[in-house]
Amino acid sequence: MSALTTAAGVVVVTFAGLLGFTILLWIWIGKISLSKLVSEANGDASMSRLQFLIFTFVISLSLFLIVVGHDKSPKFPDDIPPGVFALLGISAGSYLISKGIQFSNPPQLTQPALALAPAAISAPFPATGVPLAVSIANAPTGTALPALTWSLDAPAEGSIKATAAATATWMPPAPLPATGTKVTIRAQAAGFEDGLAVITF
Amino acid sequence: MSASSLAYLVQWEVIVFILGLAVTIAIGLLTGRISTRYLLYATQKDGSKRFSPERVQLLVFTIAIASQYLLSAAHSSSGKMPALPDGTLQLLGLSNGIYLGGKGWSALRDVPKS
Repeated sequence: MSALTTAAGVVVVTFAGLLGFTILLWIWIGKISLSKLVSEANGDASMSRLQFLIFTFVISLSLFLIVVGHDKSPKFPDDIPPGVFALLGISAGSYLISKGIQFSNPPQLTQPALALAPAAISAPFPATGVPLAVSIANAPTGTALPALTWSLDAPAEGSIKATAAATATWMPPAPLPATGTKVTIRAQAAGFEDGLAVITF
Repeated sequence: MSASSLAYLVQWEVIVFILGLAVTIAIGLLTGRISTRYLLYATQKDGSKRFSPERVQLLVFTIAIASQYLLSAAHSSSGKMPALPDGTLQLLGLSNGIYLGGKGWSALRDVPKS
């Protein structure tokens, strides 16, 4: 029975270790995106979300240090000071109230978006490529254009290359794919909805 | 493998995961992989932005209180979670109140025409 208990323990520890490693790895390679971890509905970063995140880490890490730092063997503390609950309560309460204020002000709910022109491109294509321009929608006048990342959704036919801060050129592939094939050009920036343009061959 | 070895392994797994996640998020915040756009700006009723001192003070007090508590926990040898120093909760409550007041003021008042 002791051997079975130990084997079960090894399996659980291995599984937990692999799970934790996989989560961290996926975050690092971008498979799990944390880009909007502290963002609100409109894409702006939220101080109350950041505060709640910081306190959650601090309290969890502190609790863990206390548990493993026990004299003889790891032991959960007998009681948690009420101040710790109050700390988390103030932080969570502040977050909830800020959400209420946010929902009373529509501009705080709309995320700025990137808009591509032209949004639809059809054959025949010019040999020099198709120029695209980006503008910003759903944002106050004067909002600066962010750094853009251009990409092609699968099937990634042709190539896309930035030519300036707000422009890019899509070059058609040779030979052209089957008639009717659709490819999406995507412009991305943190805090903005993606800008899309659809190419139809 | 003994039970104590397993417990030792679990401790390291948890500490590596929590620290790894904290470091990953900190790096993400500092490098821009996690968006901090307009973190210190308030959105006004007309959608425009203004620099927000109340957010700066909230950030400063949050970091100060978090650091102080983490240090207390690291140096604690009693096996108990350290209590928060006197006045900390009042300070945090006041700081959050100022932040929420500023947020509400920005969201609800009409922006003066310039």
